[in-house]
Amino acid sequence: MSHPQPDATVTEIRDATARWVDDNQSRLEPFRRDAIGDLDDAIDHSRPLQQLLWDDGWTRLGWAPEMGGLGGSPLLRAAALDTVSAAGYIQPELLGSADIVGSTIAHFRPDLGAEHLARGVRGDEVWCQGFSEPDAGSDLAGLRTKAVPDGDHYRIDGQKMWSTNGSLADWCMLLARTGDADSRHRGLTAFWMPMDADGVEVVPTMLEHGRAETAEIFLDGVSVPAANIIGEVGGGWASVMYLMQYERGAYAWGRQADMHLQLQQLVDDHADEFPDNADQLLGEAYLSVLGLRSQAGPTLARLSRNEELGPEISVDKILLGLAEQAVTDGAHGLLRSRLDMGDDEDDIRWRSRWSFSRVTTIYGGAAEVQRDIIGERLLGLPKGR
Amino acid sequence: MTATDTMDAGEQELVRGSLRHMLDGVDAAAAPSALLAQGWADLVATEPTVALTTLAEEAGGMASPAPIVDLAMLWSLGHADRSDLAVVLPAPGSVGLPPGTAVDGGIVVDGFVWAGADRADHLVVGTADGPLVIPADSLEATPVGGFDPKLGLARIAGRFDPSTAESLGDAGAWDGAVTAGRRSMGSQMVGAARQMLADTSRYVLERHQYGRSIGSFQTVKHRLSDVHVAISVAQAAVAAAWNTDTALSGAAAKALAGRAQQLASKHCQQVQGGIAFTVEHGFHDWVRRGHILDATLGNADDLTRLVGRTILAERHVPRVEVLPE
Repeated sequence: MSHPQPDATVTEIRDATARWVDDNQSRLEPFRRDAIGDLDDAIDHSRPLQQLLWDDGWTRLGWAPEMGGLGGSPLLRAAALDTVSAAGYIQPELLGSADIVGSTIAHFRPDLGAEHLARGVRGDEVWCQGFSEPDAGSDLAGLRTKAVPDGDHYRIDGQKMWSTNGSLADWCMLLARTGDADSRHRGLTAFWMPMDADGVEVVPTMLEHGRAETAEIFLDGVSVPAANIIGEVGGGWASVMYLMQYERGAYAWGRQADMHLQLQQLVDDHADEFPDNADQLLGEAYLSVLGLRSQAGPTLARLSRNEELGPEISVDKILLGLAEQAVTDGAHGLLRSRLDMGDDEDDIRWRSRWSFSRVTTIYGGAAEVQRDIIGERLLGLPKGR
Repeated sequence: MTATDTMDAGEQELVRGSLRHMLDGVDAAAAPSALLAQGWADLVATEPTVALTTLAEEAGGMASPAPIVDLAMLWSLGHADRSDLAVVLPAPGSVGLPPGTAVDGGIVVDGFVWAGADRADHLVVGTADGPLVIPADSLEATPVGGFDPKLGLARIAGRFDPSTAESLGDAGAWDGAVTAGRRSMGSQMVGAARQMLADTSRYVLERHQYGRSIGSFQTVKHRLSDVHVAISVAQAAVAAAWNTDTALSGAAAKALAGRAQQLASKHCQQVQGGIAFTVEHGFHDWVRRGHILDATLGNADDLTRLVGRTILAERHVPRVEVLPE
């Protein structure tokens, strides 16, 4: 087929995507439901869709041609994926995180982007983030993993945790301290680290929802080329804050699309079993998802115009967590006997979603930290706890 | 879509300023004719989104008792240029039903109007067959005290013969007007909640206890942050409801705005302590007004259930359009 046109309008891309969905229904059929099982099952199940979306051009929209993209606005990619979702297909597991890290690499290191972007967005490579540590979670600036110059390389020692997709990752965007021990956010540098380097040990962390979604990464004298620095030496905080615009903002777009679909499937599959207060439960869940979408669209538009988003991105992040929990709380209320005591495939799926939704107010910066940011930087209240 | 495509941010701020000026100090009953005298009909015809959103946000922020909701509904009905009409709003608790019900060949009315019935020669009454216009004196108007006596509401009740009434359109026209009215009420609540939050943020910054500004306490900060988040999402949902002009999107936007307003009332009053409970302070006026803003064209709880009911009936979870072209 011919590729989608990067100079098309959002509406034209929506129409073109809808036609493509119509023409490819049999190929798309397996992707109407997400896999149950561990992280590798989920990734293996959805990877063919991720490859198909790239190969037929939809996820190449909005990325620079030098990186394998088709050019045009990232809004076109967002519109295409939303249209695929509205037609009933779940977004591929790795696509959201690839978009977050990919946007950051493309901005700071187009040369690395030329090498890796297509592979990550197509799902041929798995990427993770190495930010949090046992003693540096919400207080990320306190991290202790050290990177010491060693010729044209850096030697890295330390420990990371909560790295999403870490156990399967090929590459990691790693944040380490290149400054003094007390240099806080000023002495950090971001690296692009191969996960198969000597001295990298990965231990998966099994989470409440039944997936080893994250991993601990132990770093023992790992040698990473200085050429793999993302941003400036000592500028790691800026690189991570740039990434956070996408983690807290753009990521919400993909999630709201999936949540609309989850609610649609809930109604399609189970409406006949709903309790008497279904209008209330469904209404609450939908309002939350509609609110997230209403906020995420304009945010995406600002990002696509290369506006730097400030503290207001914390609003999107809070709404994302609220919506994830509203949807799964709604499903729990609507399907109590299934979630609490059922063992059908769909019961397991919704139970896993419910459990995972509890962590959505923690990852990417705990909701309490977001509220501090809003209070201090948007409402002008004094620092203090 | 019409609005932001043609007006830049600077022009929108000019409109905001001039609408605020028009509303300032004007008697509520005279507000529609005052606005018309200053070019409202032209503005709303060319820039409906900016005009109606901005007017309602400003009115909300000023706690204006002007019948702004009428202007939105009349615009939707194609009569933005008339100040002789007052819109009868459905009685509280009757979400989804028009104020006029057909009974034995007549129309029985149970509803209310903002800013009193005396301001208009005629009333617009929604029915299952669409909006009808009747002389104001054909129904009985009773002043309402209620939660917000400063608002000057009037309860409208009675019965009229529909064959004597002028029709303003079909049932779809009335539904469209209700949706426009809900967007307007949503924007009023956004404006009101924003003003409550701004006043309260200033207060908690200045108020010191235990040797520090109480705004530095995390529990205070987080309550006000939650109010900010609720207002942001309500405003975004109203904008989305302009892009996707459906009954569902309008109901959802007003429900979210109602939640924002309720949260602002609750948290802002709490963190201002006892002083905000005094009559002299005046915060109670916001709390009182909030109840009526919420009650006009469906409170947040009723609208939430209406949204859920609509999705269940249509077996469809719609996506509002929020990406710019």
